[in-house]
Amino acid sequence: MIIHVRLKDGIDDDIKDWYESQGSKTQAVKEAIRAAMRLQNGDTQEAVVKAAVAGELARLPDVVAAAVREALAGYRLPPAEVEREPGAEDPELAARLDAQLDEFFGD
Amino acid sequence: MTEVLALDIGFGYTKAMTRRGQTILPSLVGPAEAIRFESDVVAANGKGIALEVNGRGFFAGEQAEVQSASRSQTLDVTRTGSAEQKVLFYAVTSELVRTTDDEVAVVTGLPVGDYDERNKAALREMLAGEHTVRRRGKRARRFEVRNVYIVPQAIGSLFALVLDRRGRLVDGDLAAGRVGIVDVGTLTTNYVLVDRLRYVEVGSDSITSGMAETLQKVAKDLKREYSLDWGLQLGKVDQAVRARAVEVYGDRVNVAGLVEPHLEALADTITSKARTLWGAGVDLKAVVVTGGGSLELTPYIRKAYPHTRTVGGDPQFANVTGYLRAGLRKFG
Repeated sequence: MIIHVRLKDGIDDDIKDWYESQGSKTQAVKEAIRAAMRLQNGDTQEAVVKAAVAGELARLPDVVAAAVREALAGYRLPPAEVEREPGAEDPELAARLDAQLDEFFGD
Repeated sequence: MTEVLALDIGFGYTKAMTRRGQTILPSLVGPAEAIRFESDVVAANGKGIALEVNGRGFFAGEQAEVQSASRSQTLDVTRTGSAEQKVLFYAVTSELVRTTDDEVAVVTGLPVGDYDERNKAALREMLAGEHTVRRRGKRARRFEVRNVYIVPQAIGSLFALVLDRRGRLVDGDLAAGRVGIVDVGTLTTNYVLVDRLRYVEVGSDSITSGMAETLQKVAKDLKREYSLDWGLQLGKVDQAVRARAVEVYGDRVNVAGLVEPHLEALADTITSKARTLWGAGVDLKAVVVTGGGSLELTPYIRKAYPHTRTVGGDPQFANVTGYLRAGLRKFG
């Protein structure tokens, strides 16, 4: 079935603008009609908005992951600093000192 | 429990330290065969030390100067592991080792120039084993030295700076760098190079120049200028050098003009050797000046090495302090 709709200049400009901005026009029109139908059948506007947002949220992890991958492409994370307790020994220097004392004291 | 005894038998003074105390005495030893007055021996001035070592009687420290006609001169190079050194070891243990201590670990040092297997073996042989210390006026001490640990002498001063009382590493900044240590003793000056706490033998050495050289020259000048005959009483000359003054017929006379050229000459000798070992010292984190001569010589050495540091406290005890802290780190 093909549905024809006539849009009048000056009266339906908002619909024309919305329609032209849609990527998948057929899909967008179907979803708009279903949303109108749900409202006619007793759903609140809030419920309709929630359903629309839920559809977008399901895609969110993929969208974010793709954006992060793109931003971090070729970027090296610096190694994390090992935090020591205040006054604690530097483990590398302590090991060097102990090795030296073993050498002095070992013979 | 093993008592850790840190011991530094220097040509001028013998220093020792345990967790509970420290002691120092002039490294003078004399035979006690010819005791003139028994009352003199029993420590009337509190400084007399009369001991028996290997079946023979000896005076140690100031008592040797007063009592022994043939005391060992401080400025003779004492043979490592000799009976004289054993007398000095017994003298300090009679002060610091308790009668209840039966096991002792000794941490000590040798001048860098003598830090070889032969001298280490001789020193270890003298110190290790069972000892009975009989000192006049005190209860005998019987203990066994099971372990003797020997390090290059001046490195003790670095340990004193980078380790705390329990032997924990506290000065990471100094420990992480290349550090030159100049230990100005009575007869020798020791140089030790340490790179991030590892001893670097090629940058370490000893020279046979020390404060005694300056004191003898000053003594000669004092005799010439003021008829003060202190050639055999270098302790008095040392006091005059520190005070830059002497008393002549009851009047205080300033001798700074007489003392300072000799100190400068010794400082030149000492810094010349440092330059051959470390160059201008640009890559050194610090030059640490320590030992009994450091108080007088640091200002001169700082002219050659602006990043010169001192050890704080009494520099004569810096090496034994470090030996003790290193010992406590390992065995405490």
